[in-house]
Amino acid sequence: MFIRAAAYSLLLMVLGSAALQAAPRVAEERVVLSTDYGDLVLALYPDVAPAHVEQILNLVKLGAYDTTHFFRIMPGFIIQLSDVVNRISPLTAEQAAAATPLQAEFSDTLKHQKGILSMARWDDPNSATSSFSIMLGDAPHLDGQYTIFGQLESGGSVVNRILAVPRNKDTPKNKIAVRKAYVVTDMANYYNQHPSDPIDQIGLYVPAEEQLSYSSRNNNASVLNYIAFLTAAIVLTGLLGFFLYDRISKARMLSLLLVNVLISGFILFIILTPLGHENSWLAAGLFIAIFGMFRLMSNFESKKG
Amino acid sequence: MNKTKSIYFVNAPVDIFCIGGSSFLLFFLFMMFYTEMRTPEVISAAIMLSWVINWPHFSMSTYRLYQNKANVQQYPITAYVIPFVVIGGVFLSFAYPDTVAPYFVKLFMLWSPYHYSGQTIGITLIYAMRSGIRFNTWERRALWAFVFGTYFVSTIRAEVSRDGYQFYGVKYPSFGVPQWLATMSEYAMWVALVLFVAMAIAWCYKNKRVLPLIIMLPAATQYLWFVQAIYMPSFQEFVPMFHSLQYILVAWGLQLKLKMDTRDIPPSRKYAVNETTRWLAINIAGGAVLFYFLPQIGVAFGYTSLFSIAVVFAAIQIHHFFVDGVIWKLKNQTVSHPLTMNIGEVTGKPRGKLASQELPA
Repeated sequence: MFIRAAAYSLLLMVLGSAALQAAPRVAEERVVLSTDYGDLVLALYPDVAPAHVEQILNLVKLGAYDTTHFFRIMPGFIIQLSDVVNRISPLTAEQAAAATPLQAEFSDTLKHQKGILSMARWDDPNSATSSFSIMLGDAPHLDGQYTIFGQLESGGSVVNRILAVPRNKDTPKNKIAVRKAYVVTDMANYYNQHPSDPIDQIGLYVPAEEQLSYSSRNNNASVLNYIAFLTAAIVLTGLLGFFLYDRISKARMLSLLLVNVLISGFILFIILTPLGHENSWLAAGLFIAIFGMFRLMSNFESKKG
Repeated sequence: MNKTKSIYFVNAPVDIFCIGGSSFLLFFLFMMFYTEMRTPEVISAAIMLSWVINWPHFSMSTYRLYQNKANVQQYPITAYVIPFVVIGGVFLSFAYPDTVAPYFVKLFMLWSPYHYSGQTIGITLIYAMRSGIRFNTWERRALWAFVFGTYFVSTIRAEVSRDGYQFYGVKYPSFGVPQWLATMSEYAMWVALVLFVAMAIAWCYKNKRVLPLIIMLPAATQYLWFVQAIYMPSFQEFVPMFHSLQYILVAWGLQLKLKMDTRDIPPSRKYAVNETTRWLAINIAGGAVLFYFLPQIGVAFGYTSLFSIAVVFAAIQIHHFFVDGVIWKLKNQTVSHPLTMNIGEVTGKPRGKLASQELPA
């Protein structure tokens, strides 16, 4: 009986320690990466990789992760966020100084599985600074080789939308930027305002059309907004010409028309330039059209214009 | 056509230095003694010169447009409508930093060398006018073709890339035009150069005199800026300054003469010094307001200083392109007449005889 009790105790201790190892302590602070496709909530393991967690939190608080982007999308494996030095907007001196190489903090017990946050590095094991990946599946070959510092807590559908972005091999054709990265400490309040988005469905479904268009809906909304502004400017200029028709000269009227040409040309410029990358004739035509517009503007308020 | 009193606004060394001599001098100095790379010292020097040369030249065009009611009445669309259009572009750029701002910046980046080319042709025609020379249609076309040929070569070369570029941190796209367009534009530029030089030689032969160097200098300088020195980053830092220096010489001459004539001020050295000082002071201050203080408005609204600088700089320059496009029309006699001035007239020590001048029709 004594031996049975000891065996049970030992078993409980092993299971307990295994349970503890399987669920490392999560920091009170969470990092939220706000993208066009939704928010990703990162839970951090300060006991597993204290230096990594500290640096990442510091960089987030300094705003260094703002305008970083997911540049590597590999379904079933990872989505990888760029280094802060490669973000869209340049870093300030303070931000750049905060991104220093980190000593490796490899875990003997944690595994690279779906949802795990794994720090990217170069060949030198102590070269990680700020880029990291969100694991999309098991990757045992990375265990003990790359620092695990946390896990994705919420944002499964966001990951699936990111996975659905058209790619050129591993590179998304459209920038998947982190508009804002920030620290949240009151998670109860956060989840009151933002429904939890479990990660277990990552990679298991392709978002439906209406969900895919979350980003394109956001982008389309953004496009429609500024086209609306520009169209309003065209209408206003037209109205100005209409009401001043009897009071201004032909040259002035033509100049108002040229203003409308400029605004309309600008709209087309924004819409067509990305398409020019797919079609070199369109690119050439765009350039020539822009030059033509500049020539037209030289007639502004001239006797001819 | 009778020649004006002097070809030069000041004298040969000063005019040649301002119009292009300084560019060639610095280019050769860099070639002989300096690294081609953009070093901190080069950037610092360029920034310091911006305060007193680049930025004031933008203020000068705005000052010229708004300094009297007659100008505003003559160009009301430029004076009243264009500022709102440009402000609208700024507003949209701040509101949509990822979608509109890159294209607002790109519009400026494409328009700027076009504007440089226009100024080059304008200055060439001014000195031709001062020399009593009137180019015929083909000569003008050859000049235009060569000058804009350099614009096409430098711009199209940059637009072949699909990676885009950065301006104060704002990444803007490139078109990705086909490489053959860049090659064609280069050949076209060389053909235009041959034509231009051939016409210059023909003119010399026909008129039995050498075409004044100052007339060829603006086009040669533009070639240096846009083609020859394109792979010298240290020199490129100073190109906007050289462009502004050309402008300042001409704008200064016009300002002195115009004010003297409109207010019947007797010529004197004192007047020249005082008015020059006043005008420069106003425009140095104006340039500082435009380029240093205006971007702070964006910063006050939470945008990064680099982003604010990029958008505001682009806006100021686009506005400048419009203003310059209207206030320097040589066919307008209120513009062309003062541009025949020489510093001697303003200081009371005229050069040569005060012959009457025929102004271009």
